[in-house]
Amino acid sequence: MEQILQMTQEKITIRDLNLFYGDFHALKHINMDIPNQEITALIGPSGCGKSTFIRVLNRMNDLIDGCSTTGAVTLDGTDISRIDVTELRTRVGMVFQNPNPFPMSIRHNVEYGPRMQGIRNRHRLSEILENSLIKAALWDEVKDRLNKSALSLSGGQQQRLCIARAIAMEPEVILMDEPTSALDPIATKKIEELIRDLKQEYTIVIVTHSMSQAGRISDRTAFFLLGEVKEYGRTADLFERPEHDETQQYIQGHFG
Amino acid sequence: MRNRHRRIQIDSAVRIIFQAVSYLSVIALIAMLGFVFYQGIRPFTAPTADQIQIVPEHIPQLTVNGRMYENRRSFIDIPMDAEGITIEFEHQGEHLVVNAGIDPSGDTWEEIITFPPELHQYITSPEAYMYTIILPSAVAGLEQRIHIQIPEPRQQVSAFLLGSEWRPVYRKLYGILPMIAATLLTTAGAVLLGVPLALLSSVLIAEFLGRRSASLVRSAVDLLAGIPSVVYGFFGLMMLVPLIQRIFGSSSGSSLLAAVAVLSVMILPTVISITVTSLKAVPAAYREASLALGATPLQTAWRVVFPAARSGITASVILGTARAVGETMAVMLVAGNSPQFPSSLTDSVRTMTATIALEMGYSSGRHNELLFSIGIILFVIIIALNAIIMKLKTNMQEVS
Ligand SMILES: Nc1ncnc2c1ncn2[C@@H]1O[C@H](COP(=O)(O)OP(=O)(O)OP(=O)(O)O)[C@@H](O)[C@H]1O
Ligand SMILES: [Mg+2]
Repeated sequence: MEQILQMTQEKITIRDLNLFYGDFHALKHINMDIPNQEITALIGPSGCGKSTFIRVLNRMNDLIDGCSTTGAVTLDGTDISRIDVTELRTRVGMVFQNPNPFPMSIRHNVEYGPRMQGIRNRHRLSEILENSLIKAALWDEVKDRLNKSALSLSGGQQQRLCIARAIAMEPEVILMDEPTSALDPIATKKIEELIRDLKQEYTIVIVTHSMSQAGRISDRTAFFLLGEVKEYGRTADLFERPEHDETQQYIQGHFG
Repeated sequence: MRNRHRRIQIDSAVRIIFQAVSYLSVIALIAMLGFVFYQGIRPFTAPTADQIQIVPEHIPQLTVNGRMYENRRSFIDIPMDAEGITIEFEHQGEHLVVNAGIDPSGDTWEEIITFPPELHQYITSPEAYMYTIILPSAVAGLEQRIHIQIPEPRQQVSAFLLGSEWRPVYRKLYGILPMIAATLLTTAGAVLLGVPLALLSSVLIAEFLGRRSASLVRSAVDLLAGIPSVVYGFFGLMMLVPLIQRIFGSSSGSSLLAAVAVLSVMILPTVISITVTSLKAVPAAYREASLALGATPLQTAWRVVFPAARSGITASVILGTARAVGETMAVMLVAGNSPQFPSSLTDSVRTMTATIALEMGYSSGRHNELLFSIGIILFVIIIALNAIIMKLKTNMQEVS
C-alpha cells in the first residue's frame, strides 16, 4: 500500500539515463524520482549537465544534431519517447534562463500556446490570458497595456510573462533553467515567491546556481557533478547532512 | 629622424589614396546621375534647335531671304527670330517665290510655320517636323523639292509621361506610358509569382533542411544569382517562348507572360538570400520558446520566426522588386518589345529599360535625350524603393 502511494506521487521517473552529444558522455546513469507538486532544485558546478538534464524532460534535446539518449524517462508512468512531442511539451512547460518573450504584444505572448493548440474562441482566450497573468503575479502591472509589445517590459516582468506563457498551457510540470540569473534581487524575490505559490498546482524542476535560492524554495535538491547525480534528497537533509564531501564543498562554495 | 619624416609622408599619401578610393563610388554615382539628369532634362527645357533648316533637291540655284546658294546639298540655317522665309528659284522656266511665316512661340509645328494656301497642295502632310514642298516635273524622278526642318518645341512632361504612342523616328511622338505600364506589369507579375516561391524556399532552407542540404540549396541559389542575365533571356527565348506559343496558339510566344516568368526566376536569388539571412538572424531563443510551448516546427516558423524577420523580409522583397525593374537583357529577349499597351498576357510588351537598350545605339537628338529621361524615371523608382528600405532599417533599429 505504501509503495503504491509512493508510485502515484512520482510525477517523473528517470531510470539509468545516459545522454551523448556525439561522443561526449554528458549525462551518466541518472536515476531520479521527481515527486508530484513539489519543487526539485538542480544544483552543481557549471558544465555538469543540469541544463542538459532538464531539457531531456521535455525533449528539447531532440533538436540538437548528434544528441542521443539511452534509458527511460516516464511521465505519469508513460515513457516520454512514446508521447507525441508537442503533447509532451504542452504537459511539461519550460522557462528559460534569459527572458525570451516573443516580439509581439503581451496578449499574444500569453495566448500563443493555446492558439497553437487550436483554441480560437475569443472569450476562452481572454479567460486564459487573465488567469495566467494573475497566477504569474503580473496581471496588475500589465492589465492596462495588454496590447503593448512584450519587449517594453522590464527584465523581471518579462520573465514573469514567460512564466505566464508557460502556465497558459495548463502544464503539469514546469521546468525552469536558472530563471532568475538574469534578474536583480527584487525581481528575483518576486519570482521566488511566485514559484512557491505555483507549487500548489504544478510540479516544478528548477536549475539554480544560488544555494540560498535552492534552500529557500525547494523541497528536494539534486547535486550534479560531471554528468552524474552525486546526491539527491530532501533539501534540508542535503544541505545539513550531505553524504558526500563534494556536495559539502560545493554547498560551502569551494568549487564551481 | 629623417626616416620618421618619410614614414609620416608615406602614411599621409596612403591615407589620401584610401580616401580617394573610398569616395570613388560616391563620385561615380554623382557623375552618372549628373550626366543622366543633364541629358534627360534638356528636352523639357528648350526646343531642339534655334533655327529652321532648309535643304533643296534638284534646284541648282536658289535664294533664301536674299542670299543666293548654288548647288547647295547641306542645310541652310534660318534663325527662329527671322521675319519669315522667302525662297526664290527657277521652276520650269518660271521664277517662283515661296513665302512662309515663322512663329517661334508656337507649341505645334502648324503654329511654328505657316504657308500661303495656294502652296498647300504641293506640301506633303507634315510629319516629324519636316515639310517637303514637291513641285511637279516633266521627267519623273527629277521633281524639285525643298525640305524644311523645323525645330521640335519643348517636350511637354505630360505628353511624355502620359502619351500612349512611342514613335520617335517618323512621328516624333514620345509617349512612354506603354513602357511604364510594361515595366510595372512585368515587375508586379514577377513579384507576385516569385516572392511567394522565394519565401517558401527561404523558410525551407532556414528552418527545415538539414545543414548539408541547406548549404547545397543555398549555393545553388547563389549560383543562380551569378548567371549572366543574357543567359536567362536566352533560355527563356529557346524554351519558354516556344512553349507559350504552343500553349496559347499565339503568333509569337514573346510576351508579357514570358517576361514575367523569366523575371520571377531572376529575382529568386535576391529575395531568398536576404530572407534566409534575416530568418537565421532571428534569435534561437524565440524558436525554443515556441517549441517548448508545444508548437510544431511549422507553426514556429510561420508564427514566430517569420514575423520576427519581417523587416528583413520586406527589404528583400523590395530589393527583388528593384532587380525586376532594372532587368534589361533577359526581358528584352523574351518580351517581344512592341511599345504598346498589352491587352492580354500573351501580348508583346516593351519595358523602359529595353527601350533604352534597343534605341540608344541609333537614336540622335531629342530622341536620344529622351532615352535619358526614361533613365531618370527609372532612377526615381529605384531611389523610392531604396528610401523604403532605409526607412525600414531605421524602424528596425528603433525596435531592437
Ligand atoms: N549542444 C551541445 N553539443 C555538445 N556539447 C554540449 C552541448 N550542450 C552542452 N554540451 C556540453 O555538455 C556539458 C553539460 O552542459 P550543460 O549546458 O548541461 O551544463 P550546465 O550544468 O547547464 O552548465 P551551466 O551551469 O554553465 O549552465 C558541458 O560540458 C557542455 O559543454
Ligand atoms: Mg545551464
